[in-house]
Amino acid sequence: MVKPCWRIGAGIERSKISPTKNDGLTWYNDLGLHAFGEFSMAMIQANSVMEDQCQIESGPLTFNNPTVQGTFVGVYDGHGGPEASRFVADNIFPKLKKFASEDREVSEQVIKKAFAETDKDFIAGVKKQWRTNPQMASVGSCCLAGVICNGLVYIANAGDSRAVLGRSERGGGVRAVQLSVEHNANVESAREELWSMHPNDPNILVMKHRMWRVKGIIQVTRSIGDAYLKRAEFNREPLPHKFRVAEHFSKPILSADPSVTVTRLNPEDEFMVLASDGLWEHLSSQEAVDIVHNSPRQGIARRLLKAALKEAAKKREMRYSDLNEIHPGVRRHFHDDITVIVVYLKPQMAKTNAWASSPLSVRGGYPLTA
Amino acid sequence: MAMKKSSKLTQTATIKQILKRCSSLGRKQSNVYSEDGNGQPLDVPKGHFVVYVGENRVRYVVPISFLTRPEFQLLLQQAEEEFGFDHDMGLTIPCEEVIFRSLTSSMLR
Repeated sequence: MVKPCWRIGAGIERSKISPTKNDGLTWYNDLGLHAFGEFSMAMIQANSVMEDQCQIESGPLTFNNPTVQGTFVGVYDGHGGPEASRFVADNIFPKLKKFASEDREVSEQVIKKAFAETDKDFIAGVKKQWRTNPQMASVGSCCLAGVICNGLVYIANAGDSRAVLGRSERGGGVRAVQLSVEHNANVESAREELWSMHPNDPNILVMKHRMWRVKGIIQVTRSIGDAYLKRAEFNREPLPHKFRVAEHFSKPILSADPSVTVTRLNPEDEFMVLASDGLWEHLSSQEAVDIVHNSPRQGIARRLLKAALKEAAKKREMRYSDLNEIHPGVRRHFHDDITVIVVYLKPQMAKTNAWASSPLSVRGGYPLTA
Repeated sequence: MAMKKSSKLTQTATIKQILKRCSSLGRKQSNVYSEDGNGQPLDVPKGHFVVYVGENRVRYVVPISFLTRPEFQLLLQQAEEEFGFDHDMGLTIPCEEVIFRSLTSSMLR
């Protein structure tokens, strides 16, 4: 559930802080405070069950080293059902803390280990339910995680969500700097990677309905879950036929290993936008950072959501107000589930751990409509 | 040929308009979205959206109330199986126009 845990640091305008709200298909937190500044979150459901999940955690990033403080942001875009994205939201941050405690610091390796173990545990759960609930083998989730700590921002991504940095320019305005590497078969680098890893499989990527798909099935090339594309033992009865791969495979087709970028924060770095592909199919990175740069902070995530929905309505040649009347399920034909988190940055605070005493934990996306 | 936003449509008129074939719109010119100064589509009345039907992708303006009808949901399901959700050229229904017309006209009765 949504568990706001507000312990706000001294000197902060409490009146600016908004509680989390659920308004029809939209869930939002218009303005909150994380360790190094403000944040805003918003989500909208399109699927009959919300498959996106997200969270922001701020405070200690280890169990044993109080000097390691920071902010963790996660965007999890599930597919085939909500179970994998929910599992990621429940597990990845505690795992990150566990591995960071072992190493007494946050690092690229720590984040990668958290992804790997989350995937391993989810697939172990799939195996347990294999006889009673074989469809779980076809459930997966993209996983985008950002960690701000010690003046650095780590962006780890498996899937096609995206994190963008808004960097102010000398002449005015803000430039979009993409921090995440995208793993979608319609991105050339992702295709190259798959072809090089499976040189003997001419059908590793198949163009279907003008889109590249891994084995003709799925567009993402890395994910948590999707056991049926990782272990051949799940590529058989009783899994429904449409999820089965014709040829036998011995090495995993999809990987849960994230691409990680590490960026040192500069005073010019004003904010980050992290969102599921539901947002990015309607807004470019630059459009998104322009909106953030030119608008008030309060409710900025909802403003981005609205901008994306207006584009979605335009593509269906309809009014935005009419789009809002459409129920989840059929709504998926108009847009995807969308999650967007805007994290404002104050690099000077990132260095000083100024807000160490204000842990925060906000979770978004639990069943809006069952 | 374009529907007037303000006109109060009787049911028969609605049927006629909805089933009006926009013959000038073919495969090449799929999305002819144009809008007024307020960002509203010009030829699509309030409460309606656009689908493209059949091999020739013929453009139809349909009421959003159709979305709650099981018959129409079946068409959308077909679209999903055929194309997934990626309709960058407009929501395409893979169904013969004749069938689409008879289905939708029965839904308006």
